Amino acid sequence: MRWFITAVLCIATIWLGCSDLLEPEEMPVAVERHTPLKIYLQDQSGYMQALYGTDGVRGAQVLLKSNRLQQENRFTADTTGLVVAYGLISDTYLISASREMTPDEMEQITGQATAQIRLINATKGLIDLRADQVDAVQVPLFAVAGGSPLVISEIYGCGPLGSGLYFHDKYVEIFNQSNETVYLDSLLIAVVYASSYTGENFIDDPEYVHSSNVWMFPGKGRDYPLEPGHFAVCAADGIDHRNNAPKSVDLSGVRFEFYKRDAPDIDNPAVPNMQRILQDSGYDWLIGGEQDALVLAKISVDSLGFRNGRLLIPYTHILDGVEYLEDPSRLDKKTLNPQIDAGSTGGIEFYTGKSMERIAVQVNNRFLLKDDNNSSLDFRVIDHPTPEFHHSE
Amino acid sequence: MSGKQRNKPIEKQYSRSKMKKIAILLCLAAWLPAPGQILQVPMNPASLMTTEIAEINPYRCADNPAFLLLDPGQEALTLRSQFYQNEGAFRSFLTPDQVRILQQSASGKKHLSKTQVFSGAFGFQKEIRGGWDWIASKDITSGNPFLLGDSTSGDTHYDGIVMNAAYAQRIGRAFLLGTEIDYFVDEGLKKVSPKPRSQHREIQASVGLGWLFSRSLQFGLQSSLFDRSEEITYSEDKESMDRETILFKFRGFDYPQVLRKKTETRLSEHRGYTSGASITWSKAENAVIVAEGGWGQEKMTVKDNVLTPLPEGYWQAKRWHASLEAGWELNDQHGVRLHTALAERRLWARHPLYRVRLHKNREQTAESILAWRYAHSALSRFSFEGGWIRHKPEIQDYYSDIALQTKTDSWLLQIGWQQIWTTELCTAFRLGYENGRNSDPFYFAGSESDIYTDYRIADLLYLISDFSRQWGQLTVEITPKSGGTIALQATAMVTEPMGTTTFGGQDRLDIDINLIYTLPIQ
Repeated sequence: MRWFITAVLCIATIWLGCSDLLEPEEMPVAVERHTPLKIYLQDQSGYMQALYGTDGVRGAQVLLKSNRLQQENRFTADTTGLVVAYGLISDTYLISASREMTPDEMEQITGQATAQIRLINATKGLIDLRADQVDAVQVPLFAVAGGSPLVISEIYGCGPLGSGLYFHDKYVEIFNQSNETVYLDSLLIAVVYASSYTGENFIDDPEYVHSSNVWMFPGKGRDYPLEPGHFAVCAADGIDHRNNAPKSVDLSGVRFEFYKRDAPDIDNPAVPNMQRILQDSGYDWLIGGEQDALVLAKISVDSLGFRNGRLLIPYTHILDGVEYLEDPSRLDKKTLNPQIDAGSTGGIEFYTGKSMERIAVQVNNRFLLKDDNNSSLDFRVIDHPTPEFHHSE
Repeated sequence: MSGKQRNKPIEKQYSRSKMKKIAILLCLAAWLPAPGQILQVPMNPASLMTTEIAEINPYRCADNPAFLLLDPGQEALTLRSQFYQNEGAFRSFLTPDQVRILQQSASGKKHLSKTQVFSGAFGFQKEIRGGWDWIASKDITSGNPFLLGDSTSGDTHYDGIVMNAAYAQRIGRAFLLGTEIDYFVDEGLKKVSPKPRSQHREIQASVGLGWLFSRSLQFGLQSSLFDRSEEITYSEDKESMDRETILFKFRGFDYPQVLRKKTETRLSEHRGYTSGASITWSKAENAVIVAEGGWGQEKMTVKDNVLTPLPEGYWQAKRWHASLEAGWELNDQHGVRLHTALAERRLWARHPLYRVRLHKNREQTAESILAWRYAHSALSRFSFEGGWIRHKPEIQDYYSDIALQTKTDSWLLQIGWQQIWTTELCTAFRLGYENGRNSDPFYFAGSESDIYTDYRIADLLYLISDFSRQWGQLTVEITPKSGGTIALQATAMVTEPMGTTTFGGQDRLDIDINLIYTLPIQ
């Protein structure tokens, strides 16, 4: 009988306890795609308050890109500054919000008919939109004037297809999208430092990009001009790589090359050399084949701070920055501060010959490259590198 | 020796093999067909004709291990070789173009005393999923929407072992206690780059209690827990060095996440429990009714990335079922069998990070089969069976903005002939036909991607396809004067679509061949 009682107790325990063991959840009430997702665009400049008596940025153009699906959706804010999006999945979204301030509006606000003023989401490029969230997600918009004249227009780093482990054809390309000639002399190209080995990552540094790989354009001020609408490639090796790797590119005629004098590096005398400021390791200028981050900065080398073997570049002096990741949806692995680049391009595997190129846009019949400080939105992956030209040309 | 007695070993193995195949390989999904499964009925279509009265018991009908002690199977060592193949283009997208299973197993049963019995089984299994498109997640029947795959199609091989042990004991005069453990483990490898590897482990533990209230009335309680895990690993292999690897992470029928990367690890944990009760009424060993019912819950958590696992999905399901099995031997010539069952499973899935519902599915099945057996003589008997099965899936894929609802009613007929030719030779032959038609199908799809319209839409179109199915089975049993029994059982089944253009001209062929050697234990 004791056996039986024990058995009954065991069964009863299992019957009653199984549900607790499993720790089941209640079914969520919020339903994917059926619940509208809301974003409130809040003006931080005071312009909207002055014009309409509210902080909401009416008429702002909003581009949302799903981090998971990489799908883009465009919206326009209503008169209260609210965007109500139907049919979207719950996800982390890359957001680009902007509103051009017309000279008339600026005249009403400041008394001066200033042009090229716009409100943009300079500090918040990533938002979580989710169906179980009732309140609108607030996105602050700040006033900015103009934009960077120089942008990083292309990064090629994965190596060509079908040539084993050949990776010497890496390059970074700069584009002048102002309507004036810009001189590249003494500008800096730096690779953002982070270490997966030590876990060091300075993405949250409020002021500086940390870099142990900093190179400077040659010249003393006006030696290396870049005309409006022109490209300048800085190649790891300025040679015709097709001789070594048939599916690679000819970089023998590019504007600059990185040459490391204290290493068995290749130097093409016909191509001006970038000047190394800091890079102790490696036989050549080196960027990651699948993930890395680069910045273009305008600052005197002498004014850079130095800490733990790395140079510190203030965010305020960075003209442009681009990050690319092995998996561009894994923004938790970013190393570049979202103020510089809120997103990430990439998703390229080693030795596939693919490249990352900034998207072309037409503004007032001018060829420009998209620059919303968000590589997820600004860049696309192309099948073959395009040194000193754009694939759409 | 009567025909009934002669047929016992083969039918026992036949019935047990079917149970193991479903319970271990497809595990608990057998209780209620998962999406698409209604058209993939397991081989060896059950025949009530061959069910003996004593086999209608809670051990077989309600999976209550306590009643192993009353199960009529003889003490024997059984060696079995099985070859199973399922092939054809009339299939859902998730289903491989070809499934082949080879299994070698040994099983036995022994009464340790008058009050104790033990049974066990051990087997090696090789499963080949040939021409399988994309999917690396092995379990494609549970309704799990969180599937992982890559852009290549090819063969995936799984090598595994299966183990089972059951023990039952009588306690006092009126009580039975039993326990059973099923264990399965395998390793899989896709033969085509990027060659994902996978590991699976499944364990199910059951405990049951029986109360022999009187000679004619028995009560049973049973409960079981199962735990299944899957680990899929994509790593960089030599062939993929200069080739792009594209991974798909599904959360529904449409809009998979498309990633270009060579490495990934997916970990899935699937756990659940079921509890049930049964009541058995019998009279004078020629009439029996087993009524049983049960309910259960299950859940699966899916995570990616082995070093820092990130949630990728969660789903949970509740289910219940009830069935009634009855047998009545009217006299030496006529016997009647009845099987009727109801079942329902409700599943929902949520976003891995947010409290947002991605799916809500409900499946209901109802079935009823009646069989009449006529013994023309002591050496030959015939059976006639007719049945009706309803399958009613309702799928709400909120993530993909797709909904489907249908009701499939199928009618089946089966005839059988069993003949004892000599004391050494017995044969059985069976022919069956089933016709399934959908009524009131409702289908909605919002914005669709190419991946859905070109591929995964077949998963839903398959569900709402009318079909017909024919099968035949031949069993030859040889019992030499000494040395046990050898049985060969071969089954072929063809399933064809009806009145549909999507799968027009396609079919699906199932072949199952079993070679069974049974040696009674003295």
